[in-house]
Amino acid sequence: MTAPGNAAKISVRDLHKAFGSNAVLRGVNLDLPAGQSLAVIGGSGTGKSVLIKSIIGLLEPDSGSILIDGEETLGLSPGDRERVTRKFGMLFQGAALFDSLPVWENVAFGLLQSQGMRRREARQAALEAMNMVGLDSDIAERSPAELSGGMQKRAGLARAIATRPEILFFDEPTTGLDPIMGSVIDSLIVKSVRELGATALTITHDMASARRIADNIAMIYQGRIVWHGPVSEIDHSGNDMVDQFINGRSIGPIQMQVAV
Amino acid sequence: MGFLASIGRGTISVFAMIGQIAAFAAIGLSHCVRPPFYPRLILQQMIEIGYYSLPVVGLTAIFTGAVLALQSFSGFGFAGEATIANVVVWGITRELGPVLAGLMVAGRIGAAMAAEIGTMRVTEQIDALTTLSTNPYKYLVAPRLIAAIAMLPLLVLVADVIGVLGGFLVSIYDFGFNPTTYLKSTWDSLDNTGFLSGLVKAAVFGFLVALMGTYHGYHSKGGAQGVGQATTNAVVSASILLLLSNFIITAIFFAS
Repeated sequence: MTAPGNAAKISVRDLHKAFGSNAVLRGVNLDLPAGQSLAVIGGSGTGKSVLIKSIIGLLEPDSGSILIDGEETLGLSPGDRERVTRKFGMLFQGAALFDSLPVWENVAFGLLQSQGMRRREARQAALEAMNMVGLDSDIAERSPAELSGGMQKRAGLARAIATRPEILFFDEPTTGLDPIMGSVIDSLIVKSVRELGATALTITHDMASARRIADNIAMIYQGRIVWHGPVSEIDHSGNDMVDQFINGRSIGPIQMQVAV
Repeated sequence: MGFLASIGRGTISVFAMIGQIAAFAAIGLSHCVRPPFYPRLILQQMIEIGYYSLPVVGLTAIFTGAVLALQSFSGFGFAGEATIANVVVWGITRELGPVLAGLMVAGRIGAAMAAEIGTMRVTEQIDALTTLSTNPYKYLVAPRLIAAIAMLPLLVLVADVIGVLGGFLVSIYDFGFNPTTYLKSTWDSLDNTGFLSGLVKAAVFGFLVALMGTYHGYHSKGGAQGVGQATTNAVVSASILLLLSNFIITAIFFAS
């Protein structure tokens, strides 16, 4: 499942992950060329989150291979894992801002902790990142709990881009937002990815968002990638599962488990 | 067979949990002695654990010291300054000071640690730390362990002084003892081993309270209910371990 383009920034090979008897990933293969944006779509429980968490290193897969810039990341020592993680920036579904820190310190967290930047410089860099996502410097001292959902997502995006990472991950970036705010966040994501020249991997079940954010789309179903191609081809994929998913039909090859 | 199998499963899960806690403690302690350190976080936790626990520990100690004097006089029928001062000093410095301070801190701080870290777990804040190249053990666990181990002995020192003061006040104003004689008896009753054992206990209790708070918070799951469960588990397990370790340390210091 390799899309045409440059050398793979992220390469996933035959990835398996099970929780007890529940096999979530059953041999995922995926290549993401440098500088491209890929959205992995799929229903709830199909393995999207487990896939992205495995790539980031939050979960240990049972078998397979994950290459970042050609380097195998499974089984890395903690020091090497930290080195690889420095290439990443991530926007979490619920923003995952630290409650105990003001907004600016959340945004500057990576600069302060992993890059050892001085507080004054880090604050300036955080304000620039906040400005990039349309957040006013007036909210810098506020607690994350005082922000609306949309503002929290923006602050989370500012934190993800503040360290100028090579690879950005977006976990359901529009979930919980109204359609207009969702569109604003998508635009900010596209703008940020372009300005950084980063490679982006998004997981979402929001098709409108996937179309806006991604160059390519991959669909995951029952722990495997069942289709992978450019956004422009998704409406003519020739894949019944993709057609059912993007049109939101209840009848089709994808069987939903509905308890009665 | 089903009964035996369930006993087997239960035994295995208990040993598995002990292994997990031991591994968690080893990783946490290893990060206490390896840089980078987070002095701001350690200081913040010291203030939270030490300074803000002073009222509850102080109140517990003063009433316990007072009751100890009352029981010694009316309950046990001891009459002299020397005897009552001795019971109060030994009771407070060896056992009641450290144990009651430890239990109070387990309820106040152990619960707070489990709730805070548990909430961070279920809202993906701990995952966010990892993606920001920050080790959660180093950032969340180590500062709490260091602060609790350092602050509990200080709290117990304060509890000792206030507890003895409670006994003094009752003895002077209720029983009409001579203050100078009572204070001299108190000073004479102080023994290095008993006093030191209380401080050692305090450091161990601090470690156990912080370990249980961070461990249960770190491994909480399932949203608000999971965080609530983690909080309960942290307080209950810290209290039981605290009483168990109290017995062991007492046996080590005073068995001979």
